[in-house]
Amino acid sequence: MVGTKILKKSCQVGINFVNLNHQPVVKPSVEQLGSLLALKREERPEEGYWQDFLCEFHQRQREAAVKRWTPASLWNRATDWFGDLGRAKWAYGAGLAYASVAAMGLVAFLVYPRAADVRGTPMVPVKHEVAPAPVPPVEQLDELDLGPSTQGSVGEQVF
Amino acid sequence: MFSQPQQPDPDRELVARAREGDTRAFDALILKYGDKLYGLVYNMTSHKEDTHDLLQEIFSRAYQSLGKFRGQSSFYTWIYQIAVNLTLNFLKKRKRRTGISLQDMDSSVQNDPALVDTGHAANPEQQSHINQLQKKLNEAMAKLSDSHRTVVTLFDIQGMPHGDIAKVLKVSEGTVRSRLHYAHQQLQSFLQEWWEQRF
Amino acid sequence: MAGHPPTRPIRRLLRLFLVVTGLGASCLASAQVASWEIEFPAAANGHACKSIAVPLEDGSGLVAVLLPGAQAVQPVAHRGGDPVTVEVIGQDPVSRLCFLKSPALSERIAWAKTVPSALGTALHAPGPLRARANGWVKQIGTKVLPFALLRVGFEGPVPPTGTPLSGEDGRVVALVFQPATGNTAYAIPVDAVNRVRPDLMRQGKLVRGWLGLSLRAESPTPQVTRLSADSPALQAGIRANDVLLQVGTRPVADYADAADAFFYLVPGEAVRLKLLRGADQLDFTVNPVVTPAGK
Repeated sequence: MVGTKILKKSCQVGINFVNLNHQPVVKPSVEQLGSLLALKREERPEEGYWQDFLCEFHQRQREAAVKRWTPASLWNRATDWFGDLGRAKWAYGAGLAYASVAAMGLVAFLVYPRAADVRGTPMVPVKHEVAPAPVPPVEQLDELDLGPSTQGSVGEQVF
Repeated sequence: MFSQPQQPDPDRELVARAREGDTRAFDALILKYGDKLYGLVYNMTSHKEDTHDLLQEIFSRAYQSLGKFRGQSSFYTWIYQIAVNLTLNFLKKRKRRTGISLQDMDSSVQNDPALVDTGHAANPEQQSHINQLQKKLNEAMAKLSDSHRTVVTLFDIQGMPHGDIAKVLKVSEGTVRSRLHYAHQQLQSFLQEWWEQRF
Repeated sequence: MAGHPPTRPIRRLLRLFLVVTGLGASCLASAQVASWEIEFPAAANGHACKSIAVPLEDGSGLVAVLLPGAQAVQPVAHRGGDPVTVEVIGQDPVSRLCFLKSPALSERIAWAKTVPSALGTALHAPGPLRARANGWVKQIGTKVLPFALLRVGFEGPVPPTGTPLSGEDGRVVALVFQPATGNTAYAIPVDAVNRVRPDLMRQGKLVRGWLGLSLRAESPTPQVTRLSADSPALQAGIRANDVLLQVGTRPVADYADAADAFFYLVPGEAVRLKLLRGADQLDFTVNPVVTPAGK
């Protein structure tokens, strides 16, 4: 095993130089260091990590699918559509510009607070509380199903 | 691995199915290569939470880009490159951490069969020494700068040749060798105090 | 011809006998027989699954692994690449084991009684492919398994579901269930196969043993929380707050250990329980019954 080989090899001291008191300073040799580092090839996460990882991965993919309907992606589709219109795009473009200006005016009127509103708004301090994430309950699987979305029963189990 | 001659990709079928929307096929690829990529990213970042987030990003990026994967290399080579690039970009942006997160002491390494000598199964003292070894090495790796930790990860841990590392990092081979030399010296120094006291 | 020694036919018979028994022993001792492959069709919203099927020691059938999402209905079977007819005897949703029989079955494989206790010992898969049992997995994340699986590391890619794993003596000790990560996989131990087999071969389904004691999955200690009315555990004298220490020969350190140990209860087969009550260690012999309806 690599681990015990390291232990055996480490008995062979790698002396590099002497310190000011003329005593040998002991460091791992480059070869020993290489062997130590090779152990890290076996780095692994804890048991069950990948089951949870897959759950989270699927969740992220679902969220990413929803986000694809973003302003950026919509803009790209709109510019493609305009490009296909030919001469008519000028008429559509003018109409769109007029509608945009009108919409901005309406939004500005509705959204921006008037002076009286700002003065009257009470200041409520923001509460910053860091609450630990709730620990997921331990579940008893009734069947051997290691799928990421498998659910078992929680609480008291009768045997 | 970048210099290996072209061989039929063992994952061709899984990739084809995943491209057609079979999520289980991509899950199988994640399970197949997850541990290896975990080792790569963790050893480059020395941080478990960052490793987890990066792995999510790496597999997500690979999944979204499956349509662009032309099979000119094996799937593993392709995703390995994505992993290295994303991790390097992350390291550039990340502020240097001053310590190791509490979760970084990976208990699974202690249970790894490569570290358990069944001939000494009754020797907890020896097992404890191996655990200490891992802990000290993790601490030493965390003290390296990102660029030095990267070359040590790719060369000493992942076994990548100097030339391939140079291509990945877009530096000269001489730079790779000198960074490695410096990193080894640093690690020797970091481990010196404990090395004298061991056993 | 005149003058043939009368012992020559006997020698021939003896040689034939030795060859046949030698062949028989090697067949029983090793798993290197014609490969049986079963394809189970997909269940609703599921996926089809393929499994290697392994002959039983008494030649009465084969056992395969039916992964979630597939169903044991009209499976398609091949033996050494040739299509053969198989019939499902029974399948157990808890262990995912499926027992089949086939008129084409002539092989018999030697099975171990239990997984060797010294973990880290070498295993072998057909190929040959070397492997090693790394440990028991009773829980994955927050999910406790119905019984503990073996975690096996292989020296090459994980072999297909259902592949038999043998110990040094050639007896099957586990069946590959599904890949874990890298070159490791979870395997169903022979203990579980031996528990399920008699019930499925006789009755077509697993009949669990029931004691009527309750534990809480999230509790760090396996402490009895409640006894069901008229239950074997209550009648044996077990009380709420007793802490489980051992079930049969299986030590119990936590809830997951208890869940694993209780999988192996057989109705009508008495089991010895060791419990801690206060500071006193007590022994109880309890007779599990068939799980009552609705429990």
